[in-house]
Amino acid sequence: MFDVGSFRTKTCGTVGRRSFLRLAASVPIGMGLSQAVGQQVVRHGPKAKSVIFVFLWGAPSHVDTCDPKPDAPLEFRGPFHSIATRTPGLNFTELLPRMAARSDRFSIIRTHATSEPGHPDGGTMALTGFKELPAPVQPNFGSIVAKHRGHKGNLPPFVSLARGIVMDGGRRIEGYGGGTLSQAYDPLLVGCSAESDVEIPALQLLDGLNPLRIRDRTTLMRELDTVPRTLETAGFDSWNRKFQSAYDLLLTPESRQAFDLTRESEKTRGRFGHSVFGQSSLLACRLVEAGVPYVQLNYSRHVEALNPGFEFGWDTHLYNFELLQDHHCPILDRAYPAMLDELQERGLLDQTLVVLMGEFGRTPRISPNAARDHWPPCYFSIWAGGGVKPGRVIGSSDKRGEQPIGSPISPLMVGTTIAELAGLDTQARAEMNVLTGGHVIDELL
Amino acid sequence: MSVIVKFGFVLCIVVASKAALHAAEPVPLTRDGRLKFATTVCANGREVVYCELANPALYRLMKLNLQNRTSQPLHPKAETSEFDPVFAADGKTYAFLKTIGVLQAAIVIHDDQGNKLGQVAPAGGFSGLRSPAIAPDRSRVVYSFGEGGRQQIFSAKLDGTERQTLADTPGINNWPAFSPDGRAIVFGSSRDADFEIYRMNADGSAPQRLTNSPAQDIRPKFSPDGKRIAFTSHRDGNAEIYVMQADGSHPQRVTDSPERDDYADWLPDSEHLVIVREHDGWHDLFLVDVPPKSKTQ
Repeated sequence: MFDVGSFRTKTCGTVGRRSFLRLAASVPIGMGLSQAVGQQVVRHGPKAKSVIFVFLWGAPSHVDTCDPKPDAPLEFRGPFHSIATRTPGLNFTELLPRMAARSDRFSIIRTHATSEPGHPDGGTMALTGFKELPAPVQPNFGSIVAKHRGHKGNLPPFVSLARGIVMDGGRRIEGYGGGTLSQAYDPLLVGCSAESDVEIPALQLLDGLNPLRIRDRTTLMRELDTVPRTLETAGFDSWNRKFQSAYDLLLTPESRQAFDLTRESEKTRGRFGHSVFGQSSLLACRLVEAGVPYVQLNYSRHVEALNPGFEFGWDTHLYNFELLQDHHCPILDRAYPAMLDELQERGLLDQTLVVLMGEFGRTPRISPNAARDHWPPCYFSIWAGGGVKPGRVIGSSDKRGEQPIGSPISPLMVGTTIAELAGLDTQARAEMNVLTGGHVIDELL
Repeated sequence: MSVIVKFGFVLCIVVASKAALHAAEPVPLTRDGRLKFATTVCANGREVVYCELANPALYRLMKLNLQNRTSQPLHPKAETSEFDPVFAADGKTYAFLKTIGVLQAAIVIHDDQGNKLGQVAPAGGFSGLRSPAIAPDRSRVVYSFGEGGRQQIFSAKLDGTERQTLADTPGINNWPAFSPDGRAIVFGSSRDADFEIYRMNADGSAPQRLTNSPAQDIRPKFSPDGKRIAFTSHRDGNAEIYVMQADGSHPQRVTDSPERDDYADWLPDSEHLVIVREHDGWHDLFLVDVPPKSKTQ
């Protein structure tokens, strides 16, 4: 089902009324790009046709996942056993056996560091490479790739998979979108449920419009004049200006189908796990298969874990070990390996760069309440496909996981490497005036 | 008489579950597939309370009627996450964790009529208790709590007063569970390396290690007859349910699934377990027959 509103709608053949409206209404953010950017020339053939940026929002403990320290004192190492991976010398904790079994398909960096210790600032830094302040906020890596690539067909060039802009409590990450490149390069926000329902939560602009009566643009315009508008005039006018693109996306089967997880077998959907993150991971695969250049796959919309009203993120100030054991790692260890398998089986892994990371690490020393707090000086990332040499372990942290040994790798270097692999070379980045001062992580290539 | 009634009821469940239940074939009890945790059998084996992820932001307690296989929220009006349910041996008094603020969770104790019997409050700041268990005589609740960089096991009266430390070691101590006679507690601890199962007297004395495997052994539960302990182990590569004798001898694998089997609790006959099984990416409760082999060992 492709659920973009208050009820489910089968997309193969018909489009439900509210589904039509919400999809159409939400599209201008992404679709406006087509008219804004025109056809841009890719200066160098990109190694990565698409990028999936898996954002473990809230910041996972590196020591309890991909950088275990079994020989550290008990107050550092935590309770989890360390297991071998397929990469010589690389161990994960026992919480990630499936990822460990696929380590020959990715490379890991264990020497990341960031200057920002809080989630909003750290999140913006992780997604843009720059601090949130001083203004203006720099563009999300996805917005940079989106501007460079334009779009394929009627699909948006930058999709962020979450039921809204990622948040820390009531505050959004300012680096979520276009920044200095303008809102035209903001992502299209797409939500996904554990039951494979896809929704575009952005806008419910109009009620009473029946897409089944729509045959062409003229009849749609006539319909629009007869339905109640639940949008301010200015907002409606903005929507209406870009309605052609929305109409195209909505009524083009191949565009709609990219968002329709019911086209996948139950076996395939089950492989990813019936969690929000699992099904979103499958959706990410479908989107890159359809040609979307950049997908930001958010583990959760919120950083918090167990806060009333917020989704379960990786910010485990409380119950770190229980949450990793019961909730977060089982979900991640099912979805991420399934994504690698699926991309490989569809022949897409070589041309899809998959980057997995949070905004910082967590304290190697167990906190007073037996959990782990924020730790910006040292964390990890995992890189697969899209021009990355697999099976490498780049850098290492010290014996307790507190500091990188050698030069740390910054978020700006992450963004620069993503951009380089996506086809933005030094000159292209300079012309766009983005990622200034960034260097490629050569060890990955 | 009551033993016969209980046994007869369990037998009815099993027979009703499947005309001819094969000993090794788990029987599905739920079919909604939602992410589930923490089972506790109650009402003399007629019901199971468990935790599910009701939506991406909420843990909710559900009550499953084993006769008609329907589930409903235990607390329909709950607006914050509730988890870690556990019933006392009387099948009526129960405790659970409830989030009461930003990164704050308290143990709440109820009777089966919904009356609140007590609460064990967390400390200030980011603070939460975990894994409550109620003594068979309902005089005290034991629980796990992080303090001083360690996670220890404490005991308190149902109103949270008269706290006593039962296990205070480096590492993480968690999942305490009483023996039926209330004289012993089993629990998991990382004091020696990774998680292993330990046993101690109810006053915290004479801790004894029961398992020794290179992967986590967690969530122990005494059988109602007190002879065996069920637990989750990753020793064979993924989470499976094991049963061992109450002294830790003769560990035996009960489930064998390519996906995760976890969160076991015993039915009153001490011969069946309710577990959470992950199957094809879904999560449901299953009824599992414990092989008699381990019982006779």
